[in-house]
Amino acid sequence: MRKTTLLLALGAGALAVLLSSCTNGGEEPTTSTTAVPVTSPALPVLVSDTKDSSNCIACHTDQESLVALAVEPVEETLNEGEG
Amino acid sequence: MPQVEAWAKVFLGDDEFLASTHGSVGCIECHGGTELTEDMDSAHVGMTRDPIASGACAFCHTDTTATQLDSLHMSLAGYYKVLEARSTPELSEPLQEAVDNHCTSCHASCGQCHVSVPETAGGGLLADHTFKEIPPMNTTCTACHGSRISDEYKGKNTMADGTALPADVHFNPGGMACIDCHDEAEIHGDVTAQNNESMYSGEPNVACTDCHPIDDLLGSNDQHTQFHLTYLTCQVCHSVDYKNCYSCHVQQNEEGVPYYTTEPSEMHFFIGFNPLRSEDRPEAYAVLRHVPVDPESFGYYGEDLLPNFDNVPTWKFATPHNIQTHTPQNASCDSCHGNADVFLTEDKVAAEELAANKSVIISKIPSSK
Repeated sequence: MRKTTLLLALGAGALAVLLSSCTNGGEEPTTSTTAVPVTSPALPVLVSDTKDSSNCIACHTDQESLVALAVEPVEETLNEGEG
Repeated sequence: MPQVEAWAKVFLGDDEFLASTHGSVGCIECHGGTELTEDMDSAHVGMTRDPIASGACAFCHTDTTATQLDSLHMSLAGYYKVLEARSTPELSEPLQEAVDNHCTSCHASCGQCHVSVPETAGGGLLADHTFKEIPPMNTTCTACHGSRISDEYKGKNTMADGTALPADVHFNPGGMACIDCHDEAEIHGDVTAQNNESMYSGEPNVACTDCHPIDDLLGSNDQHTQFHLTYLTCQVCHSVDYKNCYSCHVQQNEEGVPYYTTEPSEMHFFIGFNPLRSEDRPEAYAVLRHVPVDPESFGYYGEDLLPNFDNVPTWKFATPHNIQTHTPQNASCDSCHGNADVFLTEDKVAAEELAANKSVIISKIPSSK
């Protein structure tokens, strides 16, 4: 009987320690994040030295500016006959 | 090709491209140029309109770009092969100058098909820089392959008397685009090294029998005999008149602007001996097309630059893209047998080109049945 009581006491103690570690000191559990970004080796991503293209995009999406700035090439066809 | 205004050629349009995978890469990553400046000229310093495959595209499209550099679209190897045959190594320098000035503008980089209209056809973005996995046939393929292939395939050719020639049955009513026969591997050079030597080197990349197996054809009509199917290319019976070109001369004006002149093309259909007969192309008879080369084509760049002109026929193996089920030469046995009009006989070859073409000229017309 004494032996059984001792085993029950030890089991209860172990359970208490286990539950204590899971509750993180009584705070709400949070979602853990990994510090290492995960990227698929099959999908390389250009990120290392990306240059700032914002000015290129700003101009090349502005129809009014392009119309004003674009220069029509001088068409001088010297060719005679079918190519 | 319709004219496109200069601004429209470089207009990125709405958000479709910028929201795409390619759009997220950033302009300078592929095109170069200078960041963080609002001055147009400064921004374009170091910029290239047409990024090379090995730089911009190879990062993701490794397999395709690895072979593309060897493809005929990029290397123009076929031109070099025939020039080497007609010339000598000592004359390579002036010939190379001529090739650089007049031929290399036809290179097709990745972007010249998948992003823009090819530069030689006027250039300009296809669809606001959106990448087209399958380039649109009319603004890319036939924009370059226009005078002969496009006109034949779409039925735009007329005979000297004004008679219109029909479109290839694969186009109308077939509705087939170039890519339906000329697959990605062929266009990107992902074929054998021999296939990358010239258009007709090695085993055919495209064969009629890929879709029309010999076993199905054999005996399907009176003319699909074992002999005909073995010794004639399909075009011998199923092609009609096609364009032949003559006397191309390249030169530069006083300002150094390169240009060419050719004689007007002529519509003819001629059967001759197959100049490429081999294990890969075993047919004895083929359709022949005159190419615009002339002994003095490169005369502006030096005297007698093609001293071995006669090494290669000027009437070349051809696969006109104007296939018809019923043609004048397959109307009856006598439409071909005994009919000298459809064969390349000596009288149809210019005197100064007889030596070059002696291997393809038909001296004995197949007899009447």
